[in-house]
Amino acid sequence: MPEKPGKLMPALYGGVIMGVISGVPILSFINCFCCAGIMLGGFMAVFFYKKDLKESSPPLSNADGLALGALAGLVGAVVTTVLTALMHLVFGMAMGGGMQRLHDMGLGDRIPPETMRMIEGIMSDKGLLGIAFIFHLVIDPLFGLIGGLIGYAVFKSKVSPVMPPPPPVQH
Amino acid sequence: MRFARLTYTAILSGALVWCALILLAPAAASSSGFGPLGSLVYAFFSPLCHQIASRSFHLFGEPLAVCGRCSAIYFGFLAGTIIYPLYRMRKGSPRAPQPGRMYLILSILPVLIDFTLEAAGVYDSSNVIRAATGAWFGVMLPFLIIPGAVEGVSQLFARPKPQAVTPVKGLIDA
Repeated sequence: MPEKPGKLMPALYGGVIMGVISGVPILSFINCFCCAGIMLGGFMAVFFYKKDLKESSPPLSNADGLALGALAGLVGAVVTTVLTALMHLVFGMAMGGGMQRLHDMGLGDRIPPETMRMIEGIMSDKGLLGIAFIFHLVIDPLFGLIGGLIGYAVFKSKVSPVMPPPPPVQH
Repeated sequence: MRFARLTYTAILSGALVWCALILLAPAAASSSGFGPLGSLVYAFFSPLCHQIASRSFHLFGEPLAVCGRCSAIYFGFLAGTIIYPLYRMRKGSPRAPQPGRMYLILSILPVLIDFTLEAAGVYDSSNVIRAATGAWFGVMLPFLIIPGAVEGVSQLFARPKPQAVTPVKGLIDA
């Protein structure tokens, strides 16, 4: 009997979609609609898996949807955290550079202390990344599972109804 | 059957805890001494919802942890999960059939229309419309999720029963 294709690559693709949506600032607003971005990652993992299935392979099952959704969630958590860290670094450095320029121009004193504290907080909040990672490690597989199950419901092959045997012909 | 019950209980417990947290945020924020707990719960839900106060329902004068639409989806999901066993009993089958894509489209269509028209600036939605369309989606979702989760968990963890071996008379005698 032919085996099912591997789940790792479809889960990876789904997880990357999930991570990019959650980690990129403006895109992450999609998650404001009930974690739609996270669910989309699980859903897409099932879509990619379904594309790899051959006609001779066993059909897509709910277990595949669950496993793909959870795996995509784990990958998504890592990708989200890495992207968030990168964003932190890029924006932190940009803010830091901007602050330095303001100081060089002699305008540093005009920045309100609350704003200064906020900017310094953004630049040094490494602990928040750890909390964000734990958060995504819990939430992403959970909503990924839901996305995987929705994906199964959408992509499952239609079962052809079993025709009853014809009645015996009576002479 | 054991997996079905376990899976259903896990989903119901998860939905209960989730909804309790949504209510806990305003309750804690409005009580003296529990403010930090309220802030923690609001922070937990902040990546999941925009939390705009004017678009949220209020409890004890404080907004819920998520907006009106999200609240309705989550509480609708809880209601659907509670109703689900009754539907299954009515169907008379231990495993109710899992609906397909048409069911999903029908459940999500109202909330999508409301969201899209409002985002496009065609009309101004209200909290009641947002909540009604969200609740419709939320209530219908468990009927799609639970049968799939029950079947999926059974497929993943249930061990196949060992087949009874019928002794072949000639072999045993020999």
